[in-house]
Amino acid sequence: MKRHLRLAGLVASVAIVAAACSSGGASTAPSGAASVPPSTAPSGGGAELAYKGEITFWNTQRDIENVELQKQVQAWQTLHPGITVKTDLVPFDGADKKYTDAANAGTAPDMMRADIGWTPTFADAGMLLDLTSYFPADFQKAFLPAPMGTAIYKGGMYGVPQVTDALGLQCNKTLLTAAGLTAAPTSWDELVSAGTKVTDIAAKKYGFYMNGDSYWSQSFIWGWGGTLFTVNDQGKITNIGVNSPESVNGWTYLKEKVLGTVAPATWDFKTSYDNMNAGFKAGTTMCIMQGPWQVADILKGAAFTDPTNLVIAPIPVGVNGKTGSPVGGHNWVVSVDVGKNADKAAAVASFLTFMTAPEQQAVLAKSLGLLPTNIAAYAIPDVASDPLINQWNAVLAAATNRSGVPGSSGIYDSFTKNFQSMIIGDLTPQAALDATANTWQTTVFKNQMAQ
Amino acid sequence: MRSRSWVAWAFMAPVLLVMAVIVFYPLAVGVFQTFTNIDSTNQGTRFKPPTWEFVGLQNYLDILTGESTKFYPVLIWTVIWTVVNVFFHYTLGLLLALALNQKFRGRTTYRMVLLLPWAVPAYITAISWLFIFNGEYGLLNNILGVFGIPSVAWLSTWPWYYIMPIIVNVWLGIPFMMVVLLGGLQSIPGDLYEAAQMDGASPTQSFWNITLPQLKSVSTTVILLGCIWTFNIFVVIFFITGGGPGGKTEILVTYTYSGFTLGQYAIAATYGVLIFSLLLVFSSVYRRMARES
Repeated sequence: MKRHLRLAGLVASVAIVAAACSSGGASTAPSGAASVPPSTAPSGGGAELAYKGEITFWNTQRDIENVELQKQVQAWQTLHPGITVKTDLVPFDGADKKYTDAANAGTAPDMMRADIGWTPTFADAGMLLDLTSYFPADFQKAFLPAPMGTAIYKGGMYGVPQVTDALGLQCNKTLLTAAGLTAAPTSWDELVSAGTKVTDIAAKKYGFYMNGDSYWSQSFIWGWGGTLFTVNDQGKITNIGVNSPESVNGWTYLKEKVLGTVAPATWDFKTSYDNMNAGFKAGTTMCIMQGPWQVADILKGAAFTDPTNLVIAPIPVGVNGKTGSPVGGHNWVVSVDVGKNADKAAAVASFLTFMTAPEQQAVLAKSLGLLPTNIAAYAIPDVASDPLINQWNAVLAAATNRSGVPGSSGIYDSFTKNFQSMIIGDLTPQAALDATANTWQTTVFKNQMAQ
Repeated sequence: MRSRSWVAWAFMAPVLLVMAVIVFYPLAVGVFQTFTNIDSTNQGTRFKPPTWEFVGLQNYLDILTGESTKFYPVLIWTVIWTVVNVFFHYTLGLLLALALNQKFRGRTTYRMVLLLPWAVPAYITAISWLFIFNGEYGLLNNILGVFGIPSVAWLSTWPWYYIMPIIVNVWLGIPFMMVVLLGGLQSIPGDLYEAAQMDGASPTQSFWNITLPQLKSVSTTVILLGCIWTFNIFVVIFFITGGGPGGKTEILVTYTYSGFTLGQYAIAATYGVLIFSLLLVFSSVYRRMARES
C-alpha cells in the first residue's frame, strides 16, 4: 500500500510539473500535398467574374486604417455582386508566425497583408501563389521599383505592393523656430546643437526622442556608412557587416552625443514607441523618427491642430553625408491554394488590381497619409498637391532599401536586445554589434551563408 | 487490498487517458525533438519535405556549455526570481492570513477585497502595472515628481528592472497563499491554543510552537506549488519587461518562448526538457526533505 502511495505521489508530481511545462511543441505535420502549378488564367478585367462566394483576408492594419480600407472593399463588392471579402484584423506583431502555422495546416486565408520582410520568407517556404500570370505583362511597371522589388522572389511576383514607407524625421515647427532653425535639421550635429536649446531632460522636454528598437537604430548605422549584411544574387549572405567600424561609430555617436544631451540617456523601452508619439503630439519633443503610417495619429495631437506645424524631412545625415532611412511597407500576398481554383484566383486578381489602382491608393494617401506604391497615384491632383506627401517623396528618394532574403525579418530580435544592452551601458557599441553579428551568423542565417 | 487498488486505477483511468493525450504525448514529442535540429525551415510542411536530422545530444551540449545561448545567466535570474517571489508570497500571505483569522467586523469584505488580485486575469494586472511604471507618463513618476524626485525609467534602469516585475508578481501571488494558509489556520484545533495559554505560553511562543508546525503540511505543498508556478510564470515577465532591457529579465520560460517564436524548435524543446528536469529534481528532493524533517 505504501509503495502504491509513493508511486501515486511520484505520478502526481510528474503530472504537475509536466502540465506546467507543456507549453506546446512544434507542429510537425509533413503531409505530402504537392503544390499545383498555377493554371494560366487571364485576369477578368472589368468583366463579370465567374467566382461566387467568399474571399478571406487577414489585415494587419490598425483600426484607423482598416476603416478606410473597408470602404474600398465595399466599393469592389458592389461592382462584383456575389463575392464577399471577409476581413479579419490580425495584430501585426506575430502575424507572420500565425500565417506560417495556418499555411502549414492548410487553413491560411486567401489573401494577407504581409510585411515586405515576410514576403520572401513566405515565398521561399512555398506558401504563396506566384501572381505573374494573373496580371497583364506590363502590370509590374506601374509600381515604384523599390516596393515592387520586395514582392519579387527568384523571378516570380509573390505580392502586389500595398503601401510603402520609410522612416523620416518628423519635427514640430514651433520648436524648430525656438531652437533657432528655419527648417528641419539636415545633419545629426545640427539636430544636437540646436536641440539642446529646447531640451530640459528633468522637465521632460526633449530635442529628440528615440524608439528603443533596433529598426530605428539602423539610421545610425547607414548614416555612418555601415551595412547590415550583403546578399549575392543567389540569395546567399556573403558578408555580415553589422559590426563594421562604421556601424560602431554610428552607435557610439548616438550613445555619446545624442543620448543624455537632447534625449533621455535611457528610457522605457517597453513603451517607448507610444511614449515617443505621445511626447511629440503633446509638443514637448522637437523631432522624432517616425513613418508615414503614424501621421494620421500625430495630426490628432495638441501640437498639430495646425497641420502645417508638422515638418517631415529625410533622416539627418551622419558623418559622411549619408542619410540612413529604412524602407518598409506591405504587400498583398495570396495563398498558393488559391491557384487551385482558377475562378477564385481571377477574382483575387481583379480585387488586387482594384485595390492597388491609382485612384484607390490616392484616397488612402489623402485620408491616412499612406504612401502609394502605384506611380500614377502621385500624379492625381489630390496627392500631387498634398504638402505632407510631397515631403515624404524627398524622404523616399533618400531612403535605403533593405535586403530581402528569406528569414531576414528574424534579424531584429537579437539586434534589438543588443541595442538595448548598449543603451543601458551593459555592452559597448562594439561588443553589442559583435554579439548581433554572431547571432545572425550562427542562428538567423545559419543555412544561408555563402560558402 | 488487490480489489481496492483495481478500483483506484479505474477511477484514475479517465484522468490518465486525458493526460496521456494532452500532456504525455506532447511531452514525448518534445523530448524526441531535442535530439534533432528541427526548426521552422526544415520541419517539413505540406509544401516541403522535412530535412531535419538527428544531432544526438548536441543541443544539450550547446546549451549546457553556454555555447551561443545564455542558459546560465537566465537560470541564475530565474532562481533568484523564484526564491524572492515565493519568500514574499509566503510571508506576506501568512501575515494576512493570521490577520484575517482574527474575529473583527467586516472580515468577509476584507477577504473578498484581498482575493481580487487573484480574480483579475494576470495579463490585465500586468498591463495595469505597466501604466504605473511608464517611464515618461507613469503614475509612479508623477507622484514622485510632486515631491521633486526626478523620473526614473523603471524598466531600463538597474536594479529597478529586476525589482518591478517582482513587485507585480508578489502582488499577484499573495491571495492564493493567503487563502490556502487561512484554510490551514482554521483547521488547527482551538484547544491546542487553550492548552498553551494554560501553560503560560506567549502569543509568539504559540505561533512558533503551534501555528507553524500545524501548518507544515499545508505550507510544504503551497511552497512547492508556488515555486513551480513562479518558476514558470510567463505573463508577468512577458508583459512587464518583455524580457528586456536587452534580455536581462528573461526567465527560462520566456527565453524558451522567444526561441520558439524564432522558429528554433529543437533548441526551445531542449529548454523545455531542461526546465522539466530541473523542476522534477527539485520536487523530489523537496518532497524527500519535507518528509524526513
